[in-house]
Amino acid sequence: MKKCHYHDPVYISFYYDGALDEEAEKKFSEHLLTCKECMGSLLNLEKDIFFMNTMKFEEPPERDMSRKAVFRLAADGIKLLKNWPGKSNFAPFVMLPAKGDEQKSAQYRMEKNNFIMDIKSEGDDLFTIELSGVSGGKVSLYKGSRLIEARSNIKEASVILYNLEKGSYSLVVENQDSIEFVVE
Amino acid sequence: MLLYFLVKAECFMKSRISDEKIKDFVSRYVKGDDRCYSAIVNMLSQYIYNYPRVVFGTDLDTCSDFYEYVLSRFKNILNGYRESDAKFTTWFTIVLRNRYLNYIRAKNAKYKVEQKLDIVSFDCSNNNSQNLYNIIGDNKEYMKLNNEEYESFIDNIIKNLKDKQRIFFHLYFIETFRPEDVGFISIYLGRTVRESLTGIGEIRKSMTEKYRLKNKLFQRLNDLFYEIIKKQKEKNHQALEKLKKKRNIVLDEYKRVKLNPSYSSLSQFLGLPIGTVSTGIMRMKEGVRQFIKEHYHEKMSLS
Repeated sequence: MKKCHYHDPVYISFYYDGALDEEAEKKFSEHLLTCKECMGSLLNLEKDIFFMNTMKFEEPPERDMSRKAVFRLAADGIKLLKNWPGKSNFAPFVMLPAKGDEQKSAQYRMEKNNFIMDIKSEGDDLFTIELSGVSGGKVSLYKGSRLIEARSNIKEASVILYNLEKGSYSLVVENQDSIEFVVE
Repeated sequence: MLLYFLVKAECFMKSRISDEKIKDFVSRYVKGDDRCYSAIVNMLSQYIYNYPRVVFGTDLDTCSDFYEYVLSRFKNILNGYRESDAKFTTWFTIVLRNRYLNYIRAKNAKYKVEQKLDIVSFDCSNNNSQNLYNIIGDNKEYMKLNNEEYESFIDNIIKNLKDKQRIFFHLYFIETFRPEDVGFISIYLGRTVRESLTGIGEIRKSMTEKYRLKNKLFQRLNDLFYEIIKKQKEKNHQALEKLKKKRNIVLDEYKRVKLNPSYSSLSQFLGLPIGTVSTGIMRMKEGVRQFIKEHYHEKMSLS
């Protein structure tokens, strides 16, 4: 079924609060009489707002706001200072050197249900993130509140994000898993 | 840090959200002020956490689960906001509903459990089916209806009513409103959809206390339901019987709370004298009663 192009939270909220200009409002009002989907959203919105404005709220549980792993970039690689709480957290991951090669610097790995994230130093106060198992999916990387990388329909088996500078990051995979970490 | 405490203190004093303040925080956050992020989370935490309970009548475990689900996607959610004259909470409420439905779909897919997604409020949901007595204020459980049967049931009733009676039907049994019915009353009364929705909202507001009571009783029924399940597992028959009796008492009380608006609020919305509204409702009820008797062979005492 073709999705109605008006059926968007922004547009519906504009109409509900009377923030559309006269012409757009008139057009949308006419559209509503023929579109069950948009009218249904408005009807649900009216009811939801009524309930949310009148019913008593319960206090939410305290959330661990420090749910962030903390790394430090040092001359000899990256070090984990504080791990993410819970089972699927970061663990050291050392690549065995090929014969004659030097021992590679340490990196850390986190294994979630569907993907793996590796973090390693690049030197010069920069680091790299490698994500495996995200083929066909979508990845967004935020530095603070700024979206610095967004990839969708990923064709490769893994995604490597280079030249990342120190800061506070959130990595969102498939709009579902969010990994928060700080690199000092 | 100071910002965090200020917002936290404000949340305790006032449970609802200041539009001006939240827009200011979101705008500062989008421009790169990271300190605003925890302030936004704090301002909206109660709203997010309580949404499933207040709108869908879920238990607190589901609320906690959903809360985590939303917060782990929160940056992406905020990224989709566009500043305008519309209230932030209006936009956010639509987003929360969409996210809640996604959350339920994901949960169902995970546990391979079939659940109906289109049950919309505590008043229309009881054991995942819609009950006639809940919808039109009857005092007997005639039949349990799934959504398709419910649609056709309402369709059959309104087909049998004259246009004016249909207006009274939807407004008096306010929980029967479906999208097409809002369209119908807008055309019939010559109003825009937004004017009709505002009117419906005003009528609902006049029943705030009834809704609160119904919501409270629904929560008690929910709690009792889980206690009953627990005692069943423990095979504690004595406690189970006591709980069942208690549940029946609360259920009776729940059924007794009728969500029918006052004639004066309808008279205000329709711009008609109270006497005309009262006669209209009486005729409409008569029509519905007659229809139920003929087609479902049941007698119905309408509230």
